Amino acid sequence: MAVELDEVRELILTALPGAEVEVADETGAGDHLRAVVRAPQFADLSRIEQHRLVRQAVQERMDDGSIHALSVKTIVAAPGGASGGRASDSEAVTSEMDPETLPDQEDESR
Amino acid sequence: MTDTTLREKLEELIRDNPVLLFMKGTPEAPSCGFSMRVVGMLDALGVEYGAIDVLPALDPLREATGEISDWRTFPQLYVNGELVGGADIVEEMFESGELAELLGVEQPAAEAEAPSGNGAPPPGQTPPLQIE
Repeated sequence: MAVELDEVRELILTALPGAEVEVADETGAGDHLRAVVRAPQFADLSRIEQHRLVRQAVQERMDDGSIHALSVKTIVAAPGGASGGRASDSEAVTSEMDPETLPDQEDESR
Repeated sequence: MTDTTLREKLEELIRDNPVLLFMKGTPEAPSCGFSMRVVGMLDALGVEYGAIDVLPALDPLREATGEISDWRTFPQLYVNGELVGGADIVEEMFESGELAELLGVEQPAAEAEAPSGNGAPPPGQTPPLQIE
């Protein structure tokens, strides 16, 4: 029971309008997916809250078994063209980085 | 609706275990790659943790953790009563050193996986918890 990557992408986009979403099939079987989501809605949310938004968007497809596993990476997008602001210089790339250079996110997960 | 007794039992376990992992399988024999990754990271940090195998009661546990912490997939790592996250978040925090800091331990020098035989004692581990 695989799921279409486009459908997953749409579900996430519906939940997070304006987000940039990439969904990849990790195994070729269509049930282990990886989503990279860059959304302005993530600003000021803790990492776990960001992940919750993405997971909730696809919950139904996880519950019915079409997605067995979903890896999520969230990135805070600067609000597009909007009045600028603090989010723009605090993009929270949260993985694939040298630990030494990781942005200060200490408070987010407490 | 979730069985209230199960939910209360889980809340008690989360409260009573400073580091608690809900996982598929056991730390000795994880049944899922994601659970295995989290076990590997906790072991690399050498922390003591409680582990609950969710497989015997997957659906009720999904419902219960959904109600408790709005998270329905496993693994789930709780530290000091708070959900830290699933494998992705735990991995990001492990790599950044945040997990070590949160757990109050030293970040291992280099290797992410399996600290090799440098004479360090094996990480302490409590026996798997059973939920009936």
